[in-house]
Amino acid sequence: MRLLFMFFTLSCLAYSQATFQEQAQRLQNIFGYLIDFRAAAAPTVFDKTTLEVVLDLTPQPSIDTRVGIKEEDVEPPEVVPKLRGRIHLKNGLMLGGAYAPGLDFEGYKAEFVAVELGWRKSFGAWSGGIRGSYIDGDVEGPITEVDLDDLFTFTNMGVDVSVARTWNAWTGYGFVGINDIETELDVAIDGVHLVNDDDAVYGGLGIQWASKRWAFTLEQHATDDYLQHLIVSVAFRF
Amino acid sequence: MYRTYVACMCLVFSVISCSDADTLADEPPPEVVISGTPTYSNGVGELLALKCGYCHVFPAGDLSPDNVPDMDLNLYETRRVGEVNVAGADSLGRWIHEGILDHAVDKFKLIASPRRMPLDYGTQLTNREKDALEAWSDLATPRGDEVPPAAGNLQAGAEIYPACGSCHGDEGGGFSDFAPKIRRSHVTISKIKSMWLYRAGQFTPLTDSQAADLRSYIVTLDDLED
Repeated sequence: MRLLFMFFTLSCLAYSQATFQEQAQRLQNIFGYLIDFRAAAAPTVFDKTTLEVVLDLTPQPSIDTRVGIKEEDVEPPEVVPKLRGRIHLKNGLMLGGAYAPGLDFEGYKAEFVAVELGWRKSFGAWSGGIRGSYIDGDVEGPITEVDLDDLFTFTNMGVDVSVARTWNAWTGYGFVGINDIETELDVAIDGVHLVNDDDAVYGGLGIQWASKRWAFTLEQHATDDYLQHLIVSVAFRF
Repeated sequence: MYRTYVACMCLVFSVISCSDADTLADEPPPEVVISGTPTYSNGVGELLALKCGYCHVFPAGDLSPDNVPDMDLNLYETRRVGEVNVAGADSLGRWIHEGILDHAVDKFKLIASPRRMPLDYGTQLTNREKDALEAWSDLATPRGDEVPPAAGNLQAGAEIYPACGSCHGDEGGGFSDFAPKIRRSHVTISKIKSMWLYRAGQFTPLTDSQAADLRSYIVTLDDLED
């Protein structure tokens, strides 16, 4: 219950004062975590080698980007997509990855490479898994000011464990992990260079419906006490 | 039976699912509270380091804008570093006097694009901090541990003054916004030494003795602002 409380309520004991550096660091953390390579799937064990193609959609929470007294009228995408692939071996091993080759999306250009490696084990209707992930990339676009090209670079490494319970086509699961994040933001307007290195505990719950070919997943994430977000995922299995 | 579990799971999920981010955007800036007379030693140094020194640092740091002048507000004294004259907090008085905490100041022609300080995206000053900095400026930006200036040699000061007078005029009345009339109460040893390096662009700092000589001469000029 305490874990639930920690993960799913924003703290009422937030900072009472904040410097520009703290505000900028928090924003970098939030954007870094929103683009992280989270599992977005139950720790399913397959009885034969299976390939999955997955589309993740991350609805972006409302983000107040004010720093100091600078009101930024930038409008980032409301949903960030991520196309990924996974191969599941019948011994429980899972290898996945994603790549975006500098695609333009609603005024932003994102380039990243991500990999994940996991191992799952089932115990009847229950299953569990451990997974490590890595993502490295950058986003170029109007992050702090319209019509300017700022550059946000990020490198995230994470490890998480998950536990699932399956009822026919439905699976409910929970997960907890820790993430190390390194971000940099080059602000075009003044040449300011912001560097950030932080880590965070994250956790969440997910619900998945799967048929032989398709799987639909809804995941709720919470990172420390300042970010909660959803990931919707659609997978096709070969 | 499984439908009950799934229904419960969906219910719990619908209750907890949300999307939210706490960005600290609404948090006010921290405040340095200064009790008594504001001096560099009494609060102003701490304030400048917290709210100005992350950009105005020498060598320029990651947070420093590209066009930041050679200035280090984490230290009091203007100094010479290698081949560069680096302004310290002792050079700030005239900027504050001209209102840089409220609007851009282009009087001194030192920067291509003058802007109000702190910049919009920087850590803002509170009203009490702004009042303290203005009071500090009015007091001639004291460090707080100055010893009374030595008497100085009037004749020696007169020999140095032409380097200052080429802009401030033979009697200290100034020529333009670039070099305004000298304020009598601001003719201090630290200001003379700061202006010598930073504004006059000299390569060799004045000694305390030379600054005292110069001071003893400047305060005798006829066109100073009282």
